[in-house]
Amino acid sequence: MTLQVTEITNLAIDLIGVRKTYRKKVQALRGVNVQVGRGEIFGLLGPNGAGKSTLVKIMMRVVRADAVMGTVLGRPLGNKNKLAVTGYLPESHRFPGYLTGMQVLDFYAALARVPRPVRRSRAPGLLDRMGLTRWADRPTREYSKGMLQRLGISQALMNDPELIVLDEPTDGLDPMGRRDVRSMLLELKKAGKTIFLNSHLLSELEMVCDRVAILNEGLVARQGTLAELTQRTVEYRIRTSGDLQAIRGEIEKRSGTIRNGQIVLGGRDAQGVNELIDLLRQNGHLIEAVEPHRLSLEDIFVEALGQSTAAPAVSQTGGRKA
Amino acid sequence: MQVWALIVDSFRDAIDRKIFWIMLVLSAATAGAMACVSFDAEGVNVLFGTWHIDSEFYAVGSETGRSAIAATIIKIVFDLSIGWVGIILALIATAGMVPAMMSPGAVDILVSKPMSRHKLFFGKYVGAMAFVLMQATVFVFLTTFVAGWRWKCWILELLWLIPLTVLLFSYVYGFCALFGVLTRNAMASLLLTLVAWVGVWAPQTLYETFVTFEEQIDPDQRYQRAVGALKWVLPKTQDIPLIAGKLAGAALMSDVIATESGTVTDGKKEPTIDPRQAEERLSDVNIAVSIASSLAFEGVLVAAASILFRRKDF
Ligand SMILES: Nc1ncnc2c1ncn2[C@@H]1O[C@H](COP(=O)(O)OP(=O)(O)O)[C@@H](O)[C@H]1O
Ligand SMILES: [Mg+2]
Repeated sequence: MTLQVTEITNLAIDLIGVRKTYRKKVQALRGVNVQVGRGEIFGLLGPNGAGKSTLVKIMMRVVRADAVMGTVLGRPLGNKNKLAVTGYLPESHRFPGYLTGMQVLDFYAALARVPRPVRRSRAPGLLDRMGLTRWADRPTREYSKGMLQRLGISQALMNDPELIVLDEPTDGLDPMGRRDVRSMLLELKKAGKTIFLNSHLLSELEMVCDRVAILNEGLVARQGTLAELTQRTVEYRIRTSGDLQAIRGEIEKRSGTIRNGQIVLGGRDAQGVNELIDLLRQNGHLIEAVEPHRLSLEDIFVEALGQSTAAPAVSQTGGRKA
Repeated sequence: MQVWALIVDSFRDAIDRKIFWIMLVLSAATAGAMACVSFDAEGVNVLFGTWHIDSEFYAVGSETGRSAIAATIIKIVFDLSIGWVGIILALIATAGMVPAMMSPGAVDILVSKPMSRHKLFFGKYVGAMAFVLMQATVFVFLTTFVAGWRWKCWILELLWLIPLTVLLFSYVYGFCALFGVLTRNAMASLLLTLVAWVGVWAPQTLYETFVTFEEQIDPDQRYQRAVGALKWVLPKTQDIPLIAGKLAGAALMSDVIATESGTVTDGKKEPTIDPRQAEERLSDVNIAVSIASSLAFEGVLVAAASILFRRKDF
């Protein structure tokens, strides 16, 4: 019964010090720590080549880590019983073209030790949910990229997994498809599943993730709940009419800065905002807007990569590709 | 369940390839062609009486006729199953299986399933065998049946060719699987396998040559012993026809050997080995030792392939 002690941990994924160097040259992961709670949607974010897929592949035994400690679902990495209750959608996966959609689900679920009657009863429902019913008996070589992606997600759900690991799940999907995936993720979360997802699409993560980690050059640069990360810094932006240069000194005395013709005040300092407004009024400026500004995940992301969040061009774009 | 799923998948993979159907059509065509020929008291009857070739040699009823017909059957069935034709077709059909399993995007899902990579590899390997077993069964059953039905010559011992074809194929497929893991390319592994097959064939043939012409070229048996050792380690592909002959009936043994190792000039067989010597050689073959040592070598190849596969990052 000592075994059960580790099960009690409420972390679905608890990996410490993950290192991987490919062919003695490419340092893909340089000591990564990730903790994912049970029932959470966790997003791993990072630019191309950051090592996101490598981390997922290590979790799924596709790649062997040079060093790794910790557990997945309370068991050491690669435990077969836990793999049997894990669903995995690899990045740019390929199914044998000769298998039909139905056969794909049946074949991979058989490898995941799902009994035949369960496979038979579960597959049609998943195909239906992914809008593939009409294609169930067509070979997958006739599928479009989006259909393959949806089939891939169905495949990852065939074993009714406790943990679902998705590498770029919305890759190749149109906006409608993306929305479907998002609502499905939330549905799965409601059913108590843990979801680990890789994405370079910031907006996607922002909409569904409870917690995120930002991976850069093989290291976790930030990790936390979205609220923790984004509410950490708030700034106020004041838009006015007229030339601010004349009172620049006064503004800066009150820790404001002028950026893009707007006054920006860092921190959550409502008192400071009011002092600035008084100053502007006294000088005959018309206040057009006062906006509290939460940093977006993207701002955090860019900041984590060591660039300035102040660059206006960056904060204007939404959901930039990483 | 997992291995079964992999075997079923290998079949689906094979059925998807044209070569699968080519093999079935060839089996049917061979049986069909045989069915168009029959033998009567005067000779050979082609296409149900369309032509008649008078021949004492093939006349039914005579002792020579019977054994000539039997030898023909054996020649056809042997050559197309455990001869190079069948094996090469089977290799073409299966050489792509390991590389396809390892292709990027496909391998990720497979190796993430709750089974060891050894089991996964083994399942794919057995899948290829199962495919060849099926093809060999169809071919041997059809031809044996037609030979019995149309040529009035039931040689049920020919059914031994089913397991023997699979066995011979497996000797060669061991190389193919290893090259498949190394190159991850169907064409490259097929070509390398053919090279390896020649490499396995050469010592066996050289050995025979050294034994036959011992006095002229190898009086102190030095080459003979060196090549013999090599031959002993490598899979003994050329023992398969001998084993088949032994199992198919002692009376036909010398025919078989003459057929297998003879050269044909002007339509007449010229055995390189005289029948008496051949029979001697045949009784030399220890079936158990030949098969066991060959399988041991195959086992080493497959183990090496499987270990390489297990260690790979994808
Ligand atoms: N099989 C491999 N062999 C060698 N290098 C690899 C391999 N897979 C990934 N890499 C390298 O490791 C780094 C991380 O890659 P990856 O994990 O795919 O990043 P991401 O998924 O974040 O884009 C990259 O520099 C990539 O080139
Ligand atoms: Mg990736």
